[in-house]
Amino acid sequence: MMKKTKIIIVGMGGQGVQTIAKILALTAAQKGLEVSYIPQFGVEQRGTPSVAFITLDSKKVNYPLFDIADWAVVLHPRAIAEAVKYVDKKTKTIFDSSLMGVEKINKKPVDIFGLPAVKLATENFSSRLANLIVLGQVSRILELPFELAWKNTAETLEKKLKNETARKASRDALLLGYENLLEKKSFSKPDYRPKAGTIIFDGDGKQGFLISEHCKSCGICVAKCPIGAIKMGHNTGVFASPLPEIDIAKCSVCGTCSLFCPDGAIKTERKK
Amino acid sequence: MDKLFPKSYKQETKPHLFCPGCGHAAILKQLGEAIDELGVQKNMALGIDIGCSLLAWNFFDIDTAQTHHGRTASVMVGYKMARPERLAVAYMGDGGAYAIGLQSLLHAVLRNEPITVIVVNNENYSMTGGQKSPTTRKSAEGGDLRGFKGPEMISHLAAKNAWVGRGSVGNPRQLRVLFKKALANQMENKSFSFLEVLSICPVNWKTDAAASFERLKEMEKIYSLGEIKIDDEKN
Repeated sequence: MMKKTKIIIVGMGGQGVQTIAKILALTAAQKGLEVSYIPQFGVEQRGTPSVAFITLDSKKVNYPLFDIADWAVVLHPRAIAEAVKYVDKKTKTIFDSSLMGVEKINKKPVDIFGLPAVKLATENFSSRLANLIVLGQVSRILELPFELAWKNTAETLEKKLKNETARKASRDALLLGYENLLEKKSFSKPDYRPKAGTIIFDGDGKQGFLISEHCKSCGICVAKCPIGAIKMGHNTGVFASPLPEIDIAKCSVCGTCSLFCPDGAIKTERKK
Repeated sequence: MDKLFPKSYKQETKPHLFCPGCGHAAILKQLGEAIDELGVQKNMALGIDIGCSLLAWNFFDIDTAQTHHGRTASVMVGYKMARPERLAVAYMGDGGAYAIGLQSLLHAVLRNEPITVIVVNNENYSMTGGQKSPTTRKSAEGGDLRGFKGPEMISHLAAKNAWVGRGSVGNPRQLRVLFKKALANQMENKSFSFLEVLSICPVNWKTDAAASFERLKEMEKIYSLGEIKIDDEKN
């Protein structure tokens, strides 16, 4: 018998909050639990706070919403305000210790666990897999079997995981999250900061600029570059997504990237 | 480093509210460039519709009005009547212009009201999650080639001195030229100008950047780009 467990997951849209919640709900349902899952996000769909409410119980779930969560999972500092309403002293909180400190979530933390998901993902794979590390960790906490969680992940993300390398990296990320022990320290300050300000690529009398505050990682510059000089890199931007990198030696300063960039985030020029 | 934005942008509201890869942002960037080149920033008003286009409410450092769904053309007609010396631009999506707002649009065309209407066609209702709109083709994969040809329809109704055209996010340089023509026509000929822009919606199409532009290419095969000749026999 499982006690009724209420979970809230918050993050920025595009980080994978709803993906985590969907796979979690599927896995719990297949394990034989009663599940309710309610997604909540703004009209923009990306780049604004995204919230998922999940209730797990061995009895039927009569009412899907709740006031206070048993577990809160916080993935991005900009989404903290969404979580605070559902957190009290007893709430156990998992948060991305690589992006934020703890005081803003809970001033008198009792059960608070840091999981440096973005840092782990950036160092080991790509920052896009941070959500799977969190999913692995939450699955372990809820005592859901790893293989079942992986099966649902592979099915849900089938289209993205056609390539064997991506599939392996995703499984490794999920396993890393499943096996990684939560950090226990004071968490007063984030120990990992995303790239901020203008990143300058310099060389060969050419310069490339990337405004990391504006880049939303849509990948249009990568797709549109006629000579393939731009690639998605490993740096994480302000929206917790990977930033593109310009291979400045290859760049022909044609200006296609800045012409197509919808965010005004990239620019190349010859040095005067 | 040279400028990254058009001068008419409101700098403090960037990064803007649109999704990653949104066609709206790319279109507004070219509109901003066109406004800069014509130097009309202080002499115009922008009306925006309900739908994703409303996220442009703080995009420009330009007088902006938020209207009811589909009524942007009507509101800008009223604005133009009160302030005939200023440019009136209605910016709306395909759902607003071709579904709920089609009657407002048609009457503005028939009366040859001197406003500029910009319709962004991304083949779905994006803000509410990608539901089908009047412009959605029967088969999104491109099997059925019939689309809703708004500019062609309007070219049959419009007065002789009106201006009608179609641009695409896939061709930003041409788009900027078309924007300039659409804006200039309103002041020079005192007549209606209409520009449809084919756009992408990676989030609701569920495509990445490269696949979005491939689907846009499919659209460009069906809809011809550039200025569309007014069919003046019937007028």
